[in-house]
Amino acid sequence: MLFNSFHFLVFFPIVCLLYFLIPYKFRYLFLLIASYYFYMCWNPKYALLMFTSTAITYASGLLIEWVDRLEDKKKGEKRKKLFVALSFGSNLGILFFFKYFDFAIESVNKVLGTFHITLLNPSFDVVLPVGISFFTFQALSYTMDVYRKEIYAEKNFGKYALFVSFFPQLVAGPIERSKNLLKQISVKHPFRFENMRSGLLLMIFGYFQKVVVADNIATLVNQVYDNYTQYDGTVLAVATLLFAIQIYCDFGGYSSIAIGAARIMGFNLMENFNAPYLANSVADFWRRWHISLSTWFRDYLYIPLGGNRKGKLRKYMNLLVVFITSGLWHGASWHFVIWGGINGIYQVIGEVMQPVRDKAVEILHIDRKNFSHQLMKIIATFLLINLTWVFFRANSVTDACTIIRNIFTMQNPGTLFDGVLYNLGIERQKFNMVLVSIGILAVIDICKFKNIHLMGKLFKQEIWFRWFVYLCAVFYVLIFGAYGPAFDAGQFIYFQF
Amino acid sequence: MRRKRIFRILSVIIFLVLFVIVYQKVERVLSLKTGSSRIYTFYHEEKKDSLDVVFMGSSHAYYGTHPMEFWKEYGVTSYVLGSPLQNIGTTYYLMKDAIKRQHPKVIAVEGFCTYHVNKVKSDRMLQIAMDGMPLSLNKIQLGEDMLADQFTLEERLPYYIPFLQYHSRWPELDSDDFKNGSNIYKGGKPVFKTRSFPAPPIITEKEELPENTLIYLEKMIKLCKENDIELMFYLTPFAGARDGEEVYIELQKIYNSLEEYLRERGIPCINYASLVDEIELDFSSDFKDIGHLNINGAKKVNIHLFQYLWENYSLEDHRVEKGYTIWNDNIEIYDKKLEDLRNKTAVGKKTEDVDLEEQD
Repeated sequence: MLFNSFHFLVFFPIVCLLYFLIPYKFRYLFLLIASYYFYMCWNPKYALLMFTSTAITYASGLLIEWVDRLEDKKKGEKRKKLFVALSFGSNLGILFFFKYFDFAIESVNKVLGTFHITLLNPSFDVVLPVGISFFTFQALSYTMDVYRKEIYAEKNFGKYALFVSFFPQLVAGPIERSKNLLKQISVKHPFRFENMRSGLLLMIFGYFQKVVVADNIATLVNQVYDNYTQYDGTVLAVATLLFAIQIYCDFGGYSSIAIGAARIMGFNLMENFNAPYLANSVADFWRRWHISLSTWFRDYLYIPLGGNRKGKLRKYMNLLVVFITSGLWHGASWHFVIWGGINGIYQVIGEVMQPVRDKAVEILHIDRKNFSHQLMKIIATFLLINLTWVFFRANSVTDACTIIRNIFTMQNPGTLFDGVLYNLGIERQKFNMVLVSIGILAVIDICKFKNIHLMGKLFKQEIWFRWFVYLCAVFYVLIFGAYGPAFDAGQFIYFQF
Repeated sequence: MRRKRIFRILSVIIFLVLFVIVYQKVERVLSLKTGSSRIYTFYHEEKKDSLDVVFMGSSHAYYGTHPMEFWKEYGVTSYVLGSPLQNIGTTYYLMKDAIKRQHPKVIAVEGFCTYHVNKVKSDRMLQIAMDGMPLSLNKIQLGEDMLADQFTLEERLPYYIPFLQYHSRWPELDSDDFKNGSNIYKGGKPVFKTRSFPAPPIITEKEELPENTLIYLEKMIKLCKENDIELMFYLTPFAGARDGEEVYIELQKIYNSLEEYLRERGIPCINYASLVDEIELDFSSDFKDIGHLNINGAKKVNIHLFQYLWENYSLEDHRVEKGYTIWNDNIEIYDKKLEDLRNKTAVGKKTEDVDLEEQD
């Protein structure tokens, strides 16, 4: 079930109520059942896949710990590695089959096609199970953490299964670490008013991001990107800027709802977005965007590849590998690969150019802490990232290239004054409302960036003011949100990954 | 600690109550008013248990019945609880729900609704009827009965929670959306526009009543009996059918059967198609369109209908009673509004007639 479905709005309060009513001892089992129910609402068969992944990684943890106690340390180390390899191999194998098989066959056929050879026709009609990339990564992190002795293997299968399937973050993150989430499952979480209040507020903020901002923008972006030949460069540029906001709000919104929902039940999930568009470099952007995935790749791919410890060239290679893999993780298609690749290249160029930039700063006597300098960096980063979003959103690589070319060649800023923007699927009032909403979002993100805790400040206000803010927030979402019969409920973009 | 907890629980409850109040206000502002305001004001503006007669039915009921004339002539309070294309199933559930709010002596159903035998001829029109009703078990039963076999739960939800349907209406809001107040016409819809038609043929044949109609008729009869309410039917005349003469003939056949069926069950039914001469109905001046009476025609029907009601049921004249001064005060406003409407129509100005309401 989607977070923005009526189903979830009924499901969640019931689960919360029961959760706090039943004894502590059974709560994890209850949440496990609820989580599987949540997942099976898409397709009951998928649950089998998640269960398999859970069973494999659960066993891998126990086995790794068992061989670790062997007298023969050398043999033990070898077997440990074997179990890690088995766990990774089988899990990634499942992921590959369900997500990349068709893509791989298609790509191979394309290459061979130039030599007039057809390898085989894919006869499987594989449906991508929702959230498979998320729970697979989460489960794999557990195998690795046990191997690295960062945690003890979990003996209780139910608790472990809940760690993999915990419904708030199951299908679209944040991708939790066993170090954080698994141990919380055994902790008693009594009902706390403060948790409920801040959790609900966070959920409302998530719905604001998703239903008000992302879904309203989606109508416009889809209209432009699906018919990009009809629009000139200015409109394409505006649509691309708006897509940057859309994808942030779509994904960030899901994370906010997930973190809020978990908080109500007493769980602390990791932060997933930290004002990403206020980053002052691409590297900084990736420290702020989809943090749970970036750190996953850092911990479980970049560092094992050698990270930055094996020389500059190797570091650049590693960066590229990580980002191309990240692109592939986002979707089985070349435009995602290129999107990841460009992000990697940005960072490599950034590193290579570092001495040049340092020199320039020195010669021009630039104060790096200066507001205008920081602002320029933030804007430059935002624009660079926007360029990559074209590849992310476009339906194919060719489309993306044409769109970028048109953005740079077919500019006619006069279009902005013709009212064309109001005819892109959302009418004038809605367009203006979206702009106001983006403004609100910007203020919230700037506060976050400056470490101003808005929620804490709000809770210190007098009751009339707090209530006024709550009501405004709820009705803002209820009125301006894109949902209901007039609107085709938007799936969260990140579900396809 | 304990005091703090009690305070918190209390504050949550108060907040929720506040939320519900604001929610209802906002929902009403955002809702489409055309069509549904008639039913809405019935529930929210009419004093509880203050009506003697409730008229029900489709547009034939609200174009053809003017309760304020009833008041002026006899001092009887009445209201037209109608909605466009109302079918008999809707009439039944609406009746069941309405009598919780009003306990009239008589319910008079305009029988055109018996023709809409299909569960929902138009789901949009059903929504209009339901929008005016407060959420209740009857409302849900109505929706489920009409829609469950054709629509999924998610598709049915907007019928119970109009917010889902109308929240995106905010760019269209105007000052009328914020207006409250009683329905000065008491549910009637006077129109001065005139179109001329030849007198339609008189049909005497009959056609079997559809099964669904019979089911709901029986339910209505039972409901009124249990609640000690007199039930009667009346059939306003019309000049033809938009869909052609065949439809008109079929309708008249059904009307004839309905009349006969009700007579057998001891329920009065006045078919004005057979009283055209008696009430001196003029097809060249008494219709606003082929299916609906204008105010001239409606008044002719009403003189007869109100007299019938007055003579056959023990209704009381409230004109001098204390609690009814508002009705007397309304006469002046009503007359003025009618006069304005007449003048506007005379100079050819577009009046508040909206397409949706013109539906049968």
